[in-house]
Amino acid sequence: MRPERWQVIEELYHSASEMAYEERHSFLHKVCDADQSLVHEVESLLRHGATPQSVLDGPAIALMAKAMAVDEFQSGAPLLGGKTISHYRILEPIGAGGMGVVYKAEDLKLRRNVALKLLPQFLATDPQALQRFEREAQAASALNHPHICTIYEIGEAEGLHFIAIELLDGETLKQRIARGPLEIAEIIRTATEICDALEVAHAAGIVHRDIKPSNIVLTRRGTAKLLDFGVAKRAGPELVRRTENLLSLLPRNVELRLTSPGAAIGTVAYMSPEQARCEEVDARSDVFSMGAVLYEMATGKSAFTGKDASEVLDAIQHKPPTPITKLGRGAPSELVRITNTALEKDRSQRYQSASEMRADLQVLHKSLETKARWRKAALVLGLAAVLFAVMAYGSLRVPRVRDWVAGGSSSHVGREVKSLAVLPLDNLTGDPSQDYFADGTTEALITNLTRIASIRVISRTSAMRYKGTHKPLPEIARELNVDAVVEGSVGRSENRVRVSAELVDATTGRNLWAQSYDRDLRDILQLQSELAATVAVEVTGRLTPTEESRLATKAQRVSPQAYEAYLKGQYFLNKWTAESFEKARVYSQQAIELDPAYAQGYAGLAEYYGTVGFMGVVPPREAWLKSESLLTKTLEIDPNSSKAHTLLGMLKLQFRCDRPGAEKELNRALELNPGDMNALDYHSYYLLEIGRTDEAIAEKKRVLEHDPLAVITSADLGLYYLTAGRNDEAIAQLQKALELDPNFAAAHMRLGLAFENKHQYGQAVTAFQKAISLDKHPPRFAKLGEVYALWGKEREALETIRQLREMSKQRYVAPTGIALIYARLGQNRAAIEWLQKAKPDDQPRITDAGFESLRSDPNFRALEARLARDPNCPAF
Amino acid sequence: MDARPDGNEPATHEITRLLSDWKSGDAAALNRLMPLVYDELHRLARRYMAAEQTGHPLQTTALVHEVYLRLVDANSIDWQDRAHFYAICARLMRRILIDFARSRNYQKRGAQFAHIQLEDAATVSEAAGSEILAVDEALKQLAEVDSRKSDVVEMRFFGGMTVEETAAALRVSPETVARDWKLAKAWLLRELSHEDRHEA
Repeated sequence: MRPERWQVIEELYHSASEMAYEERHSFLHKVCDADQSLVHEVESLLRHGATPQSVLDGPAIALMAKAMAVDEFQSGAPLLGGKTISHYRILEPIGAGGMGVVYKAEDLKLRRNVALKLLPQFLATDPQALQRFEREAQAASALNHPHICTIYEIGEAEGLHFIAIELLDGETLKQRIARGPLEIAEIIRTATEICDALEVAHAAGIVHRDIKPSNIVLTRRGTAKLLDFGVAKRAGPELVRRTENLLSLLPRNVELRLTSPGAAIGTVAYMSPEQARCEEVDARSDVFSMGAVLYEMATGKSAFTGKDASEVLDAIQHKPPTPITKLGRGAPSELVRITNTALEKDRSQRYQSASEMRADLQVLHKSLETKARWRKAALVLGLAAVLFAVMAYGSLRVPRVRDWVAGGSSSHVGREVKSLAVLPLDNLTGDPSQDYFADGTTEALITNLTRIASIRVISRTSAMRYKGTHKPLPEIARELNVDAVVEGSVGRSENRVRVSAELVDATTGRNLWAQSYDRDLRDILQLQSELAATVAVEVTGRLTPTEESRLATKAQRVSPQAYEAYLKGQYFLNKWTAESFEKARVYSQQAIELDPAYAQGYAGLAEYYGTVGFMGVVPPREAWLKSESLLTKTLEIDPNSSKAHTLLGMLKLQFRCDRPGAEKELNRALELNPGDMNALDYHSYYLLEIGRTDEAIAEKKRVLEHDPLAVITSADLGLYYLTAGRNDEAIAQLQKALELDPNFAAAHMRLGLAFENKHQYGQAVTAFQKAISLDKHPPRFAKLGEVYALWGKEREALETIRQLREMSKQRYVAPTGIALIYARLGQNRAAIEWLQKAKPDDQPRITDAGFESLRSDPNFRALEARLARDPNCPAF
Repeated sequence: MDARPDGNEPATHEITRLLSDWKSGDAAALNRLMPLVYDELHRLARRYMAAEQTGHPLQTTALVHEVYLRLVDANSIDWQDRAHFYAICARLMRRILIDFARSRNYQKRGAQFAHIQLEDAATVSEAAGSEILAVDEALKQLAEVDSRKSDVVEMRFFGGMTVEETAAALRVSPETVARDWKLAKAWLLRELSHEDRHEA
């Protein structure tokens, strides 16, 4: 490191360390300008500098001395095997606690086995150490409680001081958690029992101060026992001073000072924030630790982690743990709430006592019991239903028990999930530039789920509206009209991807299912279809063979770089800005260069060209030809790409004017994926074009049900009604679209057209004017002028013509628009004159009904021949 | 296991001479110094523990100074000042403790207690030695970046010197030592945690 840089770091470190924690980050960012590595460097030093106790605190010689003392003590320990102390025969060492080694021993008088804790000999000569040893026993023995390990006797024989303790047959909670996740009922029971024990200890003025899974034993008989009051603190002025020294006791003290992860993290991980700051603690500190234990029982993971003790302590004080629901298992939301309440950093926000926490746990226990009874009842009903089904149809579709118990209360029993929304998966990296990856995974999950015919899956546009919002689930469910939602998160490192997802009942907030996956990035496609299949099975009970085959991917591997480039391409394409279109092209192009065998990559680039062609960003014909050849390539690699069939169908419809071809492609896409709403959308448009308007409307409605918040789709349905001549429905629909976005100009235009059709010219004018105020698109003025003319307002109509001519000085104004107004005013000569200036692409077209009155004019036929294109193929 | 009777004191004059020799470049003097200092260290260990357990822990710096004074006959040597003397002792302590930690960790391997799950104690005693070795290694790195800070750590951590003594030995203000110590600690703790990660 260059000395100047080190000097800068030093200055910044000292300046920042004098600031409040919250201010440091912004200070460093401001001062370091763009030098992120400098910010990172100083912040990491600050974090490590905040380690409250570390190896560097004591002189090395003192640390060494302690280690030597432990060595000496230990080297004497095994020699005790077989020895009898008082009436206890030592059998074998079983562990070591804060105050000495613990042996399994036989009580020769009572003929039972006990745990015998021996005070190290080198401590025995010290009266105060001895006093403390006794106090540990007294603290626990004062607490006669079924969930606190019982102290039998404290004594001394042949200079050895011992405590005889109830020998517990079972395993520690730490060992239990390591074996695998606990049942919800087991979690609640254990937590309730320990809270009960703490309640009694706290009432006696004793704070345990070391609640952690290794201090809780689950006996074979299924009860939890709290151990080790070795660092317990009795409240009261006299004892406070002395017990403070307890914390500095061997070996816990030494352990605390170490930075090695194994030793220290285990000890600090359950500390409360106030403990981590070495402040005075009270009963609420135990509540916090209990929260951390509860969290670990529910998730199998520590609430606060870090690569060393300093990071863990920092996390305890400043960072909320990863939400329980993100870690996979289906914990009831009430359990999540209880845990979070216990884990409040500010102790005044926590449960103020263990008894408050226990009360909530008990309520939860009761409600689950009620549910379990319902579940039983449902099982009986379910069995009857299955038998009936077998008898009646000879087939068996096992209904999921979940279907009956999905509801949070009895009124929901029997409810099934028929519709769901995948809410935008959280980007776990916290880096906004990685959003595309989470968004892409969300979209892939949606696409995969749509392959299941029996559930309605909300389409991308509507689902994405909830990105970054924290609306309550029931509200989202109401807006989207769904029974359940899938939530989750996506994280990734260089070549691993981690996806956590959970299925939540939208009305009750109850978790129906949750799962986490950690995979090689190259297996992402596989993971996506597997995830979708699992969710689908969870919801529908069983997949039909067709659905299964639709979901099965050919264990396809993709180059992670190509996949990412594809995702980025899609991400930018969906942004719909001139700038993002260019990025979309670059990334989509990259994707196929990086992995020429990646079918989806070609489809992505094809979609880009198709879109920019329609948007007029590039000359349409050129773009569409490119799109077409890319789609052909896609289908060569993957003939089952529904996306490619859809896009090809769309091109055939709008560019090749090949309606039968379009129909074939779109039908194929829908066959491959009946839930592909894009395909259905174009199919409905196809139906509209060939005049099957009612069918078109029905399909468009279905598209809208899947994408209720998509303004464009909503306004398009209005246009369909308009085309069908169903003006009232068109008006109602367009008004709905305008509720979603009052500034959607096209919807105002269509609304005006509907009013015009109904001869309600006043309202038509208002609507057109609104559209014009949003966007001064010349054809809109033409429509406005036309309506004025129809309404008999000649002066206003002529004024509109004046405005159009004025505009034409700045921009191109299609002469057909001015011609139309003149035609409607009955000024046929002027109309024909303007039409003669027109070009073939001009809007409104010469086919507009407004020009009907000109048909008698001898020049009209020639104009029509020049200006009209094949009405079935507007692109050419 | 009992503490050695106080009458059996190390040959103070012998130690002083060896220390003086070592200081003036005689490497062999260190080898002869080691066993003498080990004994003293064991003594210190017991005293230290006893003091901790009484709930009236000795001031560690006082304890360490006492050891130095027991090792060295301060009157018989011409140290410029006490602080300078302590600084030399700090360097010696570092050498000795490192050496001791190495031999101890070596002995630890295959120890008879290995089969027992001694959750707390075993970890502690195991880790103490390797921690000191790790600090030593990290300190060598720090010396390359900023040698004064490395000296401060050597005196404070290995030598048990106070801020004032360290300041006097280095001829800087106590405030400077305090600042150096603070940053050096942060830097070292970070290095140590990195090392853990590499090992993991």
